Amino acid sequence: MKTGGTDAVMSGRVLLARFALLAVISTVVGLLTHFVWGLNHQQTISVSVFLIIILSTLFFWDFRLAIAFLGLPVLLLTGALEMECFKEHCSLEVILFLIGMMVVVGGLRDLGFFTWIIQGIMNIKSMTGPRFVLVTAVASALSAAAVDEVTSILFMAALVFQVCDVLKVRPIPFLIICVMATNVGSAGTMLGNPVGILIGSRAGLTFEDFMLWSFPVMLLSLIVTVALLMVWYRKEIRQLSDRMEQRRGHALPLGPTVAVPFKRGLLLICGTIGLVALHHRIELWLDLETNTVLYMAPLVAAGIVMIWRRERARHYIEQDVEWWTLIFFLMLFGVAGTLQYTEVTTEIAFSLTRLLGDQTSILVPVVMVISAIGSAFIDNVIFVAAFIPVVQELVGEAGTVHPLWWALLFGACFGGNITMIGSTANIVALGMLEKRYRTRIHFLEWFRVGLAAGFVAGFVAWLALLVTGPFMLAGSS
Amino acid sequence: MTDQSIALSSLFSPAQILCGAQGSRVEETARQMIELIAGSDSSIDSEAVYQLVLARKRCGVMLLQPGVAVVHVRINGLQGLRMALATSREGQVCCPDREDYLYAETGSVPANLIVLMLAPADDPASYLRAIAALTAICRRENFVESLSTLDNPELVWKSIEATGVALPEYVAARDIMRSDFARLRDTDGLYAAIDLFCREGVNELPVVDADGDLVGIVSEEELIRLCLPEYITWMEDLSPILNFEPFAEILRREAHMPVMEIMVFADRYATVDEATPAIQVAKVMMRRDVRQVLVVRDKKLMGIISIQDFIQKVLRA
Repeated sequence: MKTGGTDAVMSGRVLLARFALLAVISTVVGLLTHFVWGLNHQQTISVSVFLIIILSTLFFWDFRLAIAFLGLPVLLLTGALEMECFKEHCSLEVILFLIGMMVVVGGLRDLGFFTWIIQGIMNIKSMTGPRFVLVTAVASALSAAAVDEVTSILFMAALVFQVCDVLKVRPIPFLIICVMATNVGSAGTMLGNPVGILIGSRAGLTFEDFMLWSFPVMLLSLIVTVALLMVWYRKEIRQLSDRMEQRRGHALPLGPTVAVPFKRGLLLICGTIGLVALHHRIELWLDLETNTVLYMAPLVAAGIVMIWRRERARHYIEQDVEWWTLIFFLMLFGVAGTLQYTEVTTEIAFSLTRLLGDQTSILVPVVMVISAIGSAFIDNVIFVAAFIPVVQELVGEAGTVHPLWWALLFGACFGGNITMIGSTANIVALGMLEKRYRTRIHFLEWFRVGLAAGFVAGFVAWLALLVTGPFMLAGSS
Repeated sequence: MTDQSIALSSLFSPAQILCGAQGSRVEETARQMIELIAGSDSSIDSEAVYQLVLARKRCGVMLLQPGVAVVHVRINGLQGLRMALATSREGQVCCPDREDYLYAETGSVPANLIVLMLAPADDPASYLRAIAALTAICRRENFVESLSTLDNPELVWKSIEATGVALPEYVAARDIMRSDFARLRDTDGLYAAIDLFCREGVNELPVVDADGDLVGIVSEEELIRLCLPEYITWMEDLSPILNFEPFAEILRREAHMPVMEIMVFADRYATVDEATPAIQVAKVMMRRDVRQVLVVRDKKLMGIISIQDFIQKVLRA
């Protein structure tokens, strides 16, 4: 499973220009934080270096890991971070969780589980354009919630390409629908997005908390998002319906189907999700630290897969685990600790409350908007890693289940729909589109529909948090 | 005189024209034509050039069109292109033992006009530009036939001069394309496409409509993908398809499946206008990472240029 990236070789001039821009931006921000905001030297360095790492994902996608490697010593040597703080913030448990899930996904793919799902969708009788969009959107969202957003988009994109190639329709609208549904769905559980597991880990939230407070909101947001997209792309959906009807008239299928022994894959995914879902009960029963079983569940499943399919075990580890991305996350999470170590996050939280007060009803939409805008332009995992300490300060001792955590989650996930670089799923989908059709989506084409979709989903989530927020706070106290 | 105004007739004189060539084979006439060129250029070793003609027999003789044969040789150190012409009322056979589609198509039509071109080894453009000019003349109705009836080299030369045809400024796509190639109609079925793939040994076939306009491309890869789409190849355990079950479905339906089933639209493939400079065609191939380019005039498919055509015509012209 490979995530997106650019293979373009940059000329020396472009490289230097981008590096210069990066240095200028971080220097200017550093100076502003020092002279305008009043942060001290260590805090300024902390902000500048962290900003460089974040912006490197925009300017130097291929070099982001190298820049993260270089950023860490700078922070350590300038006293803006201590090694213990770095280790504490690395979130190794999150990395292990992701490794386990990636192996499980590799096993599911080999077992034909995703093949079975795609064939099941293609074999739906009397398929029409709207039905296809509904089914693929729901499948995208649920699979993102069940495995992860990148896996979801990989196999949903394959389905979209297959159907659109056969029917000779433009795939872009249907790909966008799947991507946006994926991003919305990834907010439903801790499994859907590294953002979820990261927030869950830092906030001490359980899978059950997600199912109770996040999954229903995700479903509501999904409904409005899909409704919006079906109106937005009604012409293309109508064309798809017409082509499907023509094809049915010739008694031709949407693609070849074969008998897939799906039960093994189904057992694997159900077992994994079941173990994750019950982690809190098991932890209570065995008197274990919160989320211990949660982090270990994918590793248990991965271990079983690697014994069961031992001839493929090495392949899963070497090919299906996205080491490049995981190491970057590890570095990013650890380096984000500098913001907390130097108390920059305390300053940010203090500034927010000074500006807006400490009323949850005001802070929730603010956090949601900030995380949505941040996620729109920077990968949502990166943004959340930086913003979690701020939310931790804002939440304080108010309890584990707090509306601000969900605001951060929904803002980060739904904000990923706003621009084409907003989430890894977007980038992966665009990479697949370009490779197969040698075409790109124009930034504005995505931005117009993405802004609308992000807004409606965020609005619904905000309303939901307005209603459920008091219950969360009451439950925590 | 600039390159733009080089008349084709300026590349040879009546002294390099042989009317009513005797003999039945082009190679015999070529020897005489070499002597005519050597007669006005002492730097040319006629025997050595003739040996080169024989050595390049397999790719040294081209049938420009039915009735017109071109013998060409590349010579190191030669300054500028040399040409000689020969006419034959009865026609001369060109390379009966060659196996190429040009001969297969036109081999039964003898050559009434034989053109010998001696080109500098390091200047492929001069030959190609001369060929482009020659093609423009020979496509005129009855021109070749009328030339072959003339007994006087002076008259032959004046007929060519009177056309006013000059070498083009640059070699264009139309000058290196193949205009004779396998294609499908948009109404053809998958059955015909598979047959054509097997018969022609090509890996892509253009699809045209009734007006000859390019509609799309079918490729062998798309054919395989029809049977083995990506979502099936994800499975590690292929026991459900060990006996080619997905292919069986296609075979059951191929008689009724339109070629559109595996066609990709033309905008996903590399096309160039026929006036596009040939060097631009090479760039398109590299940029788009394709092994052939389709040559169109507006939407009408005029020809195909493959990498092999490019190599043959530019590097081995």
